[in-house]
Amino acid sequence: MRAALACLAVVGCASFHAAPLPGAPHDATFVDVGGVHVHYREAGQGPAVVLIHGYGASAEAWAQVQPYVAVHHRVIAIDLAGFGWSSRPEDADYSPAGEARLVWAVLDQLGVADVAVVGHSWGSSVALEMAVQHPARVRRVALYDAYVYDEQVPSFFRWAELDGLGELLFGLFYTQRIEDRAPLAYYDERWVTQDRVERVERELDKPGTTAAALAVAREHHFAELHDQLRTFTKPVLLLWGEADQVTPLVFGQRLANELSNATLKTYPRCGHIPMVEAHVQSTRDLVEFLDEGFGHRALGIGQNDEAPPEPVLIRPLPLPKAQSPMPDALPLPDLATLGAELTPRAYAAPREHVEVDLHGYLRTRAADYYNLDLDRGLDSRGQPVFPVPLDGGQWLDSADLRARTDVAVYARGIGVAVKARIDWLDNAPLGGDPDLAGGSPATSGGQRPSEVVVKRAWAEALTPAGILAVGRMGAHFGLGIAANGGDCEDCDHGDAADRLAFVSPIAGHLIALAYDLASRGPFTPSADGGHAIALEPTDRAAGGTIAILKVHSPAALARRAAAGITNVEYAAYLSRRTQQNDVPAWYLPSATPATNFTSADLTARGFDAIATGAWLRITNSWLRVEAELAYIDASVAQPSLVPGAAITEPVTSNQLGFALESDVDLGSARAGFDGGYASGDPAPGFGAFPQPGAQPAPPGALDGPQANPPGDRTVDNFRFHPDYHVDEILFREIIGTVTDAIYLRPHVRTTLLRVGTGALELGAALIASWAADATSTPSGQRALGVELDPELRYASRDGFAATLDYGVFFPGTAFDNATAHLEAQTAQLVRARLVFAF
Amino acid sequence: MRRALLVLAACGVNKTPQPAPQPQLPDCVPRRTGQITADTLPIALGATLDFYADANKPVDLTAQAGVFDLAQQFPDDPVVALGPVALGAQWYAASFPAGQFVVDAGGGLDGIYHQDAQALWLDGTASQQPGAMKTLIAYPAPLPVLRFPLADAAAWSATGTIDSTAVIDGLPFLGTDRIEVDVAAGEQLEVPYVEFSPILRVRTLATRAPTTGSPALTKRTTIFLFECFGEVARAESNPDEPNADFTTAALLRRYALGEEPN
Repeated sequence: MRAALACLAVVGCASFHAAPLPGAPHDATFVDVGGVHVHYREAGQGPAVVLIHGYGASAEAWAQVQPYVAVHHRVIAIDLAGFGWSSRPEDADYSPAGEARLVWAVLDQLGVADVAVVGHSWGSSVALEMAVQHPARVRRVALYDAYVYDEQVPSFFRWAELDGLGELLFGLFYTQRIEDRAPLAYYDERWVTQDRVERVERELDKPGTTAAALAVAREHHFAELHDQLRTFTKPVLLLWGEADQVTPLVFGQRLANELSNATLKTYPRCGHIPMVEAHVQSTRDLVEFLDEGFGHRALGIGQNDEAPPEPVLIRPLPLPKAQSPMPDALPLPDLATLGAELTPRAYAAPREHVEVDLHGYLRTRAADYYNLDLDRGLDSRGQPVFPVPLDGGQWLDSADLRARTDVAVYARGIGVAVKARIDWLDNAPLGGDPDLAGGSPATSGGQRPSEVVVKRAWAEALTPAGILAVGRMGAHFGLGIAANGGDCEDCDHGDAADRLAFVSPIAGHLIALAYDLASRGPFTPSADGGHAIALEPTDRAAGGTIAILKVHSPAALARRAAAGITNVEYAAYLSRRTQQNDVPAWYLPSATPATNFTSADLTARGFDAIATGAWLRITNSWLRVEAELAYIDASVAQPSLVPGAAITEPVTSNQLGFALESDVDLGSARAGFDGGYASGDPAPGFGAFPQPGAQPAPPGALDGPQANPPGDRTVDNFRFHPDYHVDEILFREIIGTVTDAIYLRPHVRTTLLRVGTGALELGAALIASWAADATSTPSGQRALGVELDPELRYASRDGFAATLDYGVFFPGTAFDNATAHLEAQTAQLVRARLVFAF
Repeated sequence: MRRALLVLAACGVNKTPQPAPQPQLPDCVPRRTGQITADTLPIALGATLDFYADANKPVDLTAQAGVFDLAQQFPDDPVVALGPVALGAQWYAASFPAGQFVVDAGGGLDGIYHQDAQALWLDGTASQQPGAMKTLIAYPAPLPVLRFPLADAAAWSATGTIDSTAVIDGLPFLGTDRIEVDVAAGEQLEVPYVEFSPILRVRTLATRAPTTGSPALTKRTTIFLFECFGEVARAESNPDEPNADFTTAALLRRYALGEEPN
């Protein structure tokens, strides 16, 4: 009853399928035994060999092995009950013993007296059951990467044994994310071709498969089998991929010790499917093993007609910029990446040891800025639009260094990971920390030590229903105009959220729920000083997000593009954040550090914001079109940041942002057209980085608060995340980000030279931009200007990249200074960047 | 195209000057303790607050249930920016060696002050312009216009001597300036679009008495102080106003949040 309720409530009932499956090949051969319509493939003549596939597979798994074995043997590859083209009756016995009896019945009908049994993975348990059921009829046994121990059973299957929960879990998740699960079976992901993925997906789509798979999973109990194996003395060959993550080699070694007459053969650089990844050697070993005692000559496997296919050379996707040495050049929405590498573990054996995965880079940049103040004098606040050199010249420069590590530590077992992002130097200015012990900068002996910055630290756990993540984790969505994790090669910032998230793969999508704590405080130490206690629960700024995502991993994207598939990915989210009260005395820059907070420090806030966004990406081997739309609707009932000075009028926001990127592979070059819009606010200044408590800006200012109650009670300018770079000068350096603006950005890039693993590329982008609200610009004119940004870049897959960017900005009338009778002049920038990634 | 030809036109001396230093805003966030000390009445030289400045307006300086209501808007409310400026460049600066800053006192006069932990001291008064009609009063001993800590029920008085060095409107003057001050706490002050809470009301009766001749003149001033902001409202009476909570303000200033709605 519970099972019925569960499946009715959530997924519809996963039903069995007793009848012959529709769509079987016309030449398929079947026998009917014990109420099961069993499909088998037979080839060759001689001593009989039966091939038994693994869980979730079919006789197709032996396609590259069967022809070689069939040279000297009568080979019968069987689809077990519940798999392949065999039927899935509800009353079938799906235990290894039951499947073994089924195989014996098939062999009986086919007139096979004795047989050599070959099994793969879970099929090995069926093979061994055959051996213990009729040891006299089994000549020998060969097992590939056997799955025959209770310790190998993933927790997902154990959870599924519960009545009702199993139906729910399998109904929701069993057929999900095959493209992400499949690579776990291989050492070299290039073997995971799109054809293989789709073959598995087709297999799982067959009627009755999910119900049968659950029935099989519930019978993953092998202890009794091992008791019976003690008396089995026939020769056994164990063939094992040394890099098998599904059934690790340690189980092969254990099995070799347990069986009285077993030989273990292992294959380096090979995962769970030696029939594919170690095809030549493993098939030769199998054939030799089966041929022993028959005096057959060795076969020239792999040297003649049945050589394993070359791994599919995956064509790189057209990337928005030059090939990046950084991982994940096309970032997924961050919620989609949570536990992405853990999820396949739901179907694999536990990790034996703690594993550490480390990535990162060292980046150094240097830039020269020429006349970025545009020689246009001061704005109406008396400020330049860019810092002016102290000596009154035109040149400024910068140089900095970042050393970043992204570390993931995987616990023993199925799926627990602790991850962190640590920046050992975080954009530290080169020469910016001189040791002045010598008395002056000129006599500095070097640089003083810098602080280590931990930007993220979070944990992920694989549950039967999805990934649970908690901690301070990256926050990124789509192109990154609203939330940006700062993962790009030239990024400066990066969002991190203190978040509790749960991500579940359902109906071909990822459904994510997240709760973010944006701000709390003030705090008081606990009695023992061991932890901090927030003094007021109503001052927390917090909210929830629900997101739906249809995304592919970078590897899957490349795989699908190579297969000629046009990928359509999309995501959407809805977030709400609220804050009831506030305690500005603990965070305002003007606040003297205070400790003894009282109720007088508490002020009303009444913040309520809804943010929603959507993202679409269409890619294939020659095209990328990607767009993001973001909208924010917010209100602040009490906009005053000063305790005790209440403003009687609320402030509201309606902000809209949009960005489009495209790339088309033209053969010798890639070209595309980008564009964007960030809604504006008519208040003076762009409002890119308003400071808390800043005074309203007069007309003619570059920046300033966008709300000036009571007359102006709106903040409607959408601000792109500053890590979303459109250009080099105007938005990035002068305004600070894209806000209150419209831009168009055609671009082109070509490869000049390919050397080894690297390529030298030349690219250029032309950016034309206008203010959305002319009243926001220093002159009150709309034309912001035109910028040309060429780039020369060498990047290597080994992790090294050198980039030289140049930018020249021709300011529009928006920057002219009528008051000072100065016309804005051209600005230029040169930026060099070296990245050493690992 | 013209701009494109100017890629290198910006060589040489930068036409954009160095910006003037920005006023250093004080490190102060109201803690709403009901007291104001010298620390919570910081002097931010160069910084200004906007005020609605009116003349001859009806005013209610009494609290109703602890709330002072000065929120009434007048159609002709002009906005002025007021704030302390450093003493130094003014024509009268040398006459006030202890003075720190100057505040526009209205009527073409400046008040010269200095502040320490004990009080905000009025060092004297001077006309903004020198000349034959100048005013210059430098008290030998400054007047404590605000004594710290300011709190409910505080009261004090002080007398400043106007000696022979003083001139008023170009004429010599001998006499005294006496202030009598009382402080009351209020829960809230309402001005247009803003509510300050808690608030301290400071009433001052100033009496200028010549040594000989004409009778003494009195003027009543009620100011409202809020932590960190300082004075957020002021009402000055007509001369010789008998009522401590006068109802017609010769001068009425109230904190102005920002531009008016259209």
